[in-house]
Amino acid sequence: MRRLTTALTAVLLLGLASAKPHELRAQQRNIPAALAGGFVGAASGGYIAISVIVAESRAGKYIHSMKDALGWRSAPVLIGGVTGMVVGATDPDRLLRTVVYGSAGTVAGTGVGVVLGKIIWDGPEAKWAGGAIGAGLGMAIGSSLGLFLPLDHSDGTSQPAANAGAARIPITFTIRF
Amino acid sequence: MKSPIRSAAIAATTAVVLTACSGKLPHLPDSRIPEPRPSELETVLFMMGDAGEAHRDTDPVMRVMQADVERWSDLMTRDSTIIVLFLGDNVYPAGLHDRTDPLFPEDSAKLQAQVDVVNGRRAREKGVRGIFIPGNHDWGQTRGLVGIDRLHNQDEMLKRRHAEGSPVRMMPSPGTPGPQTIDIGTRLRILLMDSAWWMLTGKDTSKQVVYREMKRAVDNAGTRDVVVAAHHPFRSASSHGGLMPFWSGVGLRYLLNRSGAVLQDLSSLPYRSLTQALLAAFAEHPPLVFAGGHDHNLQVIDGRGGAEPKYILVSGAGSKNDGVGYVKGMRFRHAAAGYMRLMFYRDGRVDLFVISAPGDQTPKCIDPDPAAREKCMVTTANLYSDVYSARLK
Repeated sequence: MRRLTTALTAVLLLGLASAKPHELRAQQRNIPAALAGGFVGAASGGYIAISVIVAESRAGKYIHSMKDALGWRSAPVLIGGVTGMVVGATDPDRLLRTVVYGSAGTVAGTGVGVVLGKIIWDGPEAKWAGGAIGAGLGMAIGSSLGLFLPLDHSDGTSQPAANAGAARIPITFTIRF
Repeated sequence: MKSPIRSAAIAATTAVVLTACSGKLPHLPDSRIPEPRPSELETVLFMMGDAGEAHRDTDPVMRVMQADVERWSDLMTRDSTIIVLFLGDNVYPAGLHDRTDPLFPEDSAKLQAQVDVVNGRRAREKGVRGIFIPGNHDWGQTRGLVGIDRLHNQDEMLKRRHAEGSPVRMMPSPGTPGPQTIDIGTRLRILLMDSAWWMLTGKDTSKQVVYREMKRAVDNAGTRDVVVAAHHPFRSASSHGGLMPFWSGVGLRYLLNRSGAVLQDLSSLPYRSLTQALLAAFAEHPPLVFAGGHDHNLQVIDGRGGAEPKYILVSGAGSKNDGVGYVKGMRFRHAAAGYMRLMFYRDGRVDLFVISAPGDQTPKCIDPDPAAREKCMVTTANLYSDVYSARLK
């Protein structure tokens, strides 16, 4: 947890330090959004990590306890947290859209996963496994669409779609094995 | 300082869980029966699981159990009538390392604390037997040869202690699933199984053999009461059984359990295959008791009838402490350090006694000052008592 906090703080400071003065002022105004983005991103990453673990278990590779869920499997938590924080700091509208798309993807993925899980596997845990995998997949797809699709800002200073990808999003993470 | 901090964290977590749960759990009626007269008894069976974090100088429960074993050794008129089962996870967190490993001294001290329970003067004179069943942590939570090596380390240490006069041994033998049969007197058959083998390394063909052996052992028990003992419980109202609040671990632990992704939970496919195989083996002659540990508390649950064991016992409170919820058929639950004692009468009656600390805790005496620690040990040991007792048959 300490490593995660250190990494997130370092990335945030790095992102802020690399910003131009007018960007810095904007980012300072967005600190609440950055914090919210970091929290939502980490939680979303947690559920994506769950779907990976559940998918592995369906293939016969189990974890023994929650400790086994750490390591590389927890990478989505870090990636999600950092991404959410940076997007919140630089583009709160994009963050909001990412959350909305991610939530919609989760709901849709859970529904499809539950149905498919009951069809594919036997046992009381089948629907849960299907739902968990579907939720993670839906969240990943929805969040990615919300994050990377061009965004037309409504304040009249919208960026051309071609420049949307030029936004600076510093992402750094460390995975310890 | 790691242990006290960890203990405090566990205690705090448990307190929060229990506080949150306590309002919703149904009340279970109290039950107390008088202690049997020793002259009426044929066999006494002690059961303690998950004691692999206990030390003889810091965990009063080990001292209480040793005193209880000594007392009954003294009271019983005949020899070899007392068995002490350690129900797995005898060495946390990853079994007994090699003698050359820096972790060996700590690991071996934990195992020695359990050996000492059956190492009293009267226990040795009366031929008390201490039997150690492997648990998943004794396998080092690993499949294959590494796990079997850890079991061999534990087995070798127990053999050394046996050679020195301590009545201890590991059963089933390292890396073998069992069931191993122990017939005691005319009334009792104990079947010992390494359920961690099933979860970690068993091949389907070998599992078929285990199923057939288990079926044969329960079917030809005749008039004997059958007690099946393994590390993994048949059912549980605690975290491995899926009884946890949704918000535990931000919902992640709950989802992993429900999805069957945690091997050690009853919802995983290997665990479910184990209980299904046992149910098939018990189809014609369900055992009287299925005793396990794994979840760190004390539970007494009625079987659901059919092929299920008549009573399901969880005695995994040797050194750790987890919250416990409720499942249908539950007679007793207690989330504190303790152990169980089954008393088999000559006339066929069977009584169960649960001995534990009061409240919901696993008291430890960790004062660095030896005198203060000893005072704490004596004071705390005196708090232990029979918290539940019932006639099972």
